[in-house]
Amino acid sequence: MSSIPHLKNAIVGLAQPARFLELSERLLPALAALTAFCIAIGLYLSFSSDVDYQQGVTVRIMYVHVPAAWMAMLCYTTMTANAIGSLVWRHPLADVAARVAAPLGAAFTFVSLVTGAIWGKPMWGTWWVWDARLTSMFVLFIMYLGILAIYRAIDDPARAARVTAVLIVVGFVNIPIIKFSVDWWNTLHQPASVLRLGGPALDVEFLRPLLVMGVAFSALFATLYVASIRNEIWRRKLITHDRLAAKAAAHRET
Amino acid sequence: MTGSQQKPLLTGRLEMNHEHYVLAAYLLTFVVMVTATLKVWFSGRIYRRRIEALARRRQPRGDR
Repeated sequence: MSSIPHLKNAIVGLAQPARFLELSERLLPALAALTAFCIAIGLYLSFSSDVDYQQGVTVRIMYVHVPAAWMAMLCYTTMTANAIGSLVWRHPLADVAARVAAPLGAAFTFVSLVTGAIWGKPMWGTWWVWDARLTSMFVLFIMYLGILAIYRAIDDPARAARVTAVLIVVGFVNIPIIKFSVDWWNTLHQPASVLRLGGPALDVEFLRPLLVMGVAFSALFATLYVASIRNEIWRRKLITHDRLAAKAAAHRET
Repeated sequence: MTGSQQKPLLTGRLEMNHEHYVLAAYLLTFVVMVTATLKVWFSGRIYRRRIEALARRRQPRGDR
């Protein structure tokens, strides 16, 4: 029973920037090594697995397209959890964690959209259709860009954090829409074949490389996310130092 | 259109076979991911150097 307060203290401790910096130094080499290892295994499995009897070799696009789409949605979910932390507890680290997730999410969404278009051309005969899944994914990409633009447009970090946190939380409604769009509407995009109630519909030959690439993308996201939070903490420290130095210089002049 | 019948990619009309689509998708993914990684790594390196320089300046000379 005593493990719950211990766990709570550990999580609260992590929310202190100094403790987070200490932890990130230890965690990052291990995460980077895991990412490199999983990508190497994932690439080997992707190119050594059998091709599909209908799609041929283009089925291999799935091993980068699907994990990128998973990461795009995971990134937004992480950002929403941090935005709630920033709104409710006004914790600066929650704001930092929400802010740095936006460019990573935009990158994963971009990869998902473009690889989807590249896959769509030989399979559907078109690069793009405005069906529910593709459109909701495109809306997610626009939202990431909008969040990035607001962060850059507002100078006061506390105000920028509040405005974007509200936008992020409201925008979370798009995540279930993306997930269930293929069930709710008649789309050209295929229905869910991995994360579904009846279990994966994919053969193990395709499922194995897909899951390994999923782990590789998750490890890459975790590595970049932890490193980005660390960078943002350092950036804010430097900004605070520069402001204090400028104030002290102005004080000396008067 | 495969093998010797296939038109070259860089001359005439762009004709892509399935291998080209797969290659394009993997290249794009790795270009974006490597760019994101390098951006995070380089900005981390710059901030780390500035923070270390600041810490050295703050440290009293006797402590060095």
